[in-house]
Amino acid sequence: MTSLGLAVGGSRLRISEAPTLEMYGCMVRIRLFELKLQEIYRSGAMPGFIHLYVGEEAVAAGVCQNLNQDDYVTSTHRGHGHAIAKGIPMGPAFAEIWGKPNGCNGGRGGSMHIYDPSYGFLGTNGIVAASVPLGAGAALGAQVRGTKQVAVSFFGDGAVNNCAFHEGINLAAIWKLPVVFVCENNLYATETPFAKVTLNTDVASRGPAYGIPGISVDGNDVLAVYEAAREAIKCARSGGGPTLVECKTYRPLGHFEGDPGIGYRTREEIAEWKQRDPINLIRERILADGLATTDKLAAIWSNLEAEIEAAYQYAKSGGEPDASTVEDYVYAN
Amino acid sequence: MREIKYADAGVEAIQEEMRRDPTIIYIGQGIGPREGNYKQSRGLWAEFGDHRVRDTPISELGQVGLGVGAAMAGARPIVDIVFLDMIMEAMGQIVEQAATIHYTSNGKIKVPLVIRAAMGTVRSTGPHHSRCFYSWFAHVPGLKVVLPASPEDVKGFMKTAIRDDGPVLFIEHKFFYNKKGPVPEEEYAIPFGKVRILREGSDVTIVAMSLMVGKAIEAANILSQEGISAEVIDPRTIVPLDREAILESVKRTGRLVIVDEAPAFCGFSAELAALVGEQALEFLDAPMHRVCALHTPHPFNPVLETAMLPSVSKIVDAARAATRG
Amino acid sequence: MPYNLLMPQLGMTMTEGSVVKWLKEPGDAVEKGELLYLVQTDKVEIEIESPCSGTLAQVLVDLGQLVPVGTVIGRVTQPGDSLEPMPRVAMNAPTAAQDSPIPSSPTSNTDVSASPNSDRPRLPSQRAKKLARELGVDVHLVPDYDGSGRIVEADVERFYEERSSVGPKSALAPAVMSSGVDKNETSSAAHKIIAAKMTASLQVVITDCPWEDNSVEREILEENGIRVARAQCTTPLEVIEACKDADALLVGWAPITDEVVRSLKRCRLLMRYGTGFDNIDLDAATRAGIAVGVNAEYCLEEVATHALALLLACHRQLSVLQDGVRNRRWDPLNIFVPFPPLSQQTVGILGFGRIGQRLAGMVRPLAKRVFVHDPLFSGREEANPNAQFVSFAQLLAESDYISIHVPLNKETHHLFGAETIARMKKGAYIINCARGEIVDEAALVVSLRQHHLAGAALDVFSKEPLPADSSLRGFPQVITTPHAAWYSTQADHRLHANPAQNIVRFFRGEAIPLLNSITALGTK
Repeated sequence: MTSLGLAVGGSRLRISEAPTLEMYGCMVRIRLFELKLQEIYRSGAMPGFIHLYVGEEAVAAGVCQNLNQDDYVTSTHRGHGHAIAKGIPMGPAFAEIWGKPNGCNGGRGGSMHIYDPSYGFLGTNGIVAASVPLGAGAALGAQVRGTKQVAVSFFGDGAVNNCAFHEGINLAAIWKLPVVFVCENNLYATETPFAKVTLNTDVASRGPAYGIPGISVDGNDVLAVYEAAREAIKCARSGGGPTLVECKTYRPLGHFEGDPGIGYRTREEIAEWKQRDPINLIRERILADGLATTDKLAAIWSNLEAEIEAAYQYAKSGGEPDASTVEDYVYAN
Repeated sequence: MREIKYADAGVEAIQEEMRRDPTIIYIGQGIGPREGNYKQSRGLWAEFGDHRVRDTPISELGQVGLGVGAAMAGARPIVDIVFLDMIMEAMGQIVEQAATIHYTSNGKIKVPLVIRAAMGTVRSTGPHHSRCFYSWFAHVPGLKVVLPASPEDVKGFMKTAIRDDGPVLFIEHKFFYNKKGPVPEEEYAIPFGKVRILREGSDVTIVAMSLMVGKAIEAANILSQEGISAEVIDPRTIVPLDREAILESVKRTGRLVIVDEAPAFCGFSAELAALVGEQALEFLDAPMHRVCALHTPHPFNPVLETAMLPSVSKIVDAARAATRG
Repeated sequence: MPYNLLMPQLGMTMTEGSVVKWLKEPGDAVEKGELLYLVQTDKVEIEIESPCSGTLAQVLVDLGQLVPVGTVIGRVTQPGDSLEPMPRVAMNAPTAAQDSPIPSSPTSNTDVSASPNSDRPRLPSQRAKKLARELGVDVHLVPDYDGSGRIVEADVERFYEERSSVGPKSALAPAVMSSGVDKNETSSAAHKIIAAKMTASLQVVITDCPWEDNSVEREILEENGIRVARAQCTTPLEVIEACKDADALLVGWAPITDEVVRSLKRCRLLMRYGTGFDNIDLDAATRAGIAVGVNAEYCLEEVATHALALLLACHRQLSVLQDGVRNRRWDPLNIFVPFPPLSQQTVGILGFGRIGQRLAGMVRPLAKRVFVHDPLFSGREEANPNAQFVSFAQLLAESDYISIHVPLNKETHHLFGAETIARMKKGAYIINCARGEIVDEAALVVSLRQHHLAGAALDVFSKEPLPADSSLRGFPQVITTPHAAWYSTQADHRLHANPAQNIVRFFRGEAIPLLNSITALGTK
């Protein structure tokens, strides 16, 4: 199968050919949001557990830049980045992760059950690989209703050996559903190295097995991600069917907050990948190309800090829910 | 009233709904041109075509997962699993996804999904094609469970299931498909949550589901010759359950026999017994009896299978025991 | 602004941890994001970054000291901050939510055997509560008569007997003595008690019975407090005389005419021993508000089997063969009237009630076709796997045997007269276990003489016992049995027991099958 004519790894796009500053802003927004969550979680104030998106921002930003508000996204347990990139208001998102009643789902879902249909966000998910058939299904819904919406299904390397991956992609392929499957391959599924449990570690090569294109890109190069996603989304939207896009990336933090992340990885490996922090990578190119000055970037950064602080304060102000609502919404009618 | 086959009653309901609402789609294995293993989708593909009636490969997980996703995205899918046994492959999508989304999204996203399958045994269908574990779904908050036992119920409940905005497990019995029964000519739908009383009686209440309803009626006829007047009730919808009607009957007769083709341990029969024990204990004149399948997988040999399953005589014996003294 | 360093929440289950290493000394400069201290939990060790830049001012815990999540373990100051020293965290500071060990054996400090305390209230059992509620008694007033420590059903019963002044015509009566169609909530225990009071003065009169022995009926009725009188009426006048004060009649063959019905002042129920009711004027009874019941199901199997036996006997011409052998003949080919095997013949059943249905099931495997005619079933061809529904004309024209299973009434009286018999197939047989008067015996005799019908098998006759000079006795091809189709030991018992039980149920207000529906009891 053709791979949409893209160079594997790097992008041929020039910075000026893409909405680079917007994507930069999106990545910083995600980073600050996640770090603030980490701070509050570590203080013991937050129930449950969280999986932070730090280090993978380029994928969410690069993919979602190509989506309309009514396009669909299905996500994973590491999905805050997808939610923010899709445009969900940060205050309600923060509150939801905190379990507060002013969260976007009333505090009923938490980190792994964030839904916002007004942005087409059909949920982070506690079940690995569930996002694959769900995303394909959302695309099916659009196809049945005859709209031009597309769906993006995010998942990690941990999903690709799961039967949901196989069945979801196959069905999407045979029906030419308007969906793009984006694999965030950060080399580890929880604490298991991908290479240890898979002989063929080339995730993109699985695409042709289903008769669809498979592309592999550098997941820390936001322009590469943007370009690959743009082509794949265009293909889906025009009825050309799904594409499998593998984004090679890394998470320097642990699997969840509380996982030191070094029992199963070397410090050297982590340090190496930290050198390739996606925000730093694009920042260097922005400055080198003269797209913006350091002051401008700093201003973007501090504006976003203020926004995140406001989101935090919004969440903090939520009290506790009325316990008598616990049985609401079990059934739709 | 005209009499039509159980399978055709379901088809009529689906057809009428699909004509009315273009977002309804039908997904399953062999349900397109082949019209379904039991002819349970006869004529659908011919009328609605590939866009809305989609044959799938053997991918129950994928079928249901796509059904959930499509339901979240404005469609109203019917996913036909054909054999209830095969639904195991899709349990995650049903239990973790379909059942939880409306609740955890705080009501923002609905999952109007019908999952259709046939349970039960028909002469040695064997352990992979005979199971009746519908109670597992009743145990999951967020799922509705329907067990229609007649063509009239199939058509009426299917329409309600399709119009329901949440996930519904529509569990038919494969024995019934080519059996005929009266079905009204005019359009109708039956709301969930009301039992059907097949036979009024005063000495003992027999609650039976699906295929067991016919056996309970046969048993009741035999019992009447001995002067035992049995009331036979079919709950029809396990969730939502018409608790009031069942309790009202037991309070009146004081004796209860439950008949279920699934095993007794941790089955729906246990839920009914617990319900009566909690809310009508002082109305009981005798211990409750459960006539259920034995706690074994389905054996292939017909003699063994018959020994494993409830029978008319087992029901009669239980009712006699319940009304003795 | 001084910054507090906390023992962080690291994972869901963490409740406490300890600092095992400091990467800086108090007084050292630190930068935001620089690794500052190493925390150990029961699961992992994690390096924690400094949350801000400044100077590490204070360390408040010892290395290895376990403290709860959220404890301030150190402080970082920024230029210009003044710091009041904070106390170090005390050793053995109470840790939040100390995990209690999982119990492995029962704790011994519960008082299992509380000694019975005579001041404790006696608790009623479920059945006692239920009985009390039904009898309208406050269960908490019931004493513990037997000192068992609990109030049981027997206690409630005794309390009710002693307290109640319920007589036979009490206010309870209308509620219980309903038409039998209403449902009520009373249990059998309560019923027995109420019924005992209700039935004490009731009387049943047996109008007539072919047998002397009524011990079965008597036992059932008298056990329930109902008196039994036995008559042997054969005329309406005798019935009127015997049943003046009866609350119910148990009827054999005695004629219960309109005149008789109008004379019954107290009677509320007419119950037949058997299934037929042609000797009872049903309309008159209904007009008078008297319920009529029959013994509907006591001999279904027996009659069906007897009809089958007669049919097979006709088919094999047993009585003709028997007659031949008795006359020293031994040549079946000359004795037989030639006939094909049963598997090529058609059996016709008139009347598809419970007996007709059973016969159809029994004979289905033997015959080529089983035809059924019953006006109540017209148009439902698919209803039964054992029989094919046909018109009366077709039944007559094509059946090799017609077995009659309809009741005797205006429509069926002499149904099988000359004309009908003439429309039957040549060589066919009539089998009658229903009522004699359905067949015109004179017409039957003519047909036999003309060799139109091949024979008949009859268990019932217009006059019973069959008169000695009846022509039917003279045909070898006519099998006669003395109204015996109903019999087996079980049926014999049910013949007596069922009507008695139904009478008892009726007077208890329970639903029993009736031929008519009484909506208002006559005020008699």
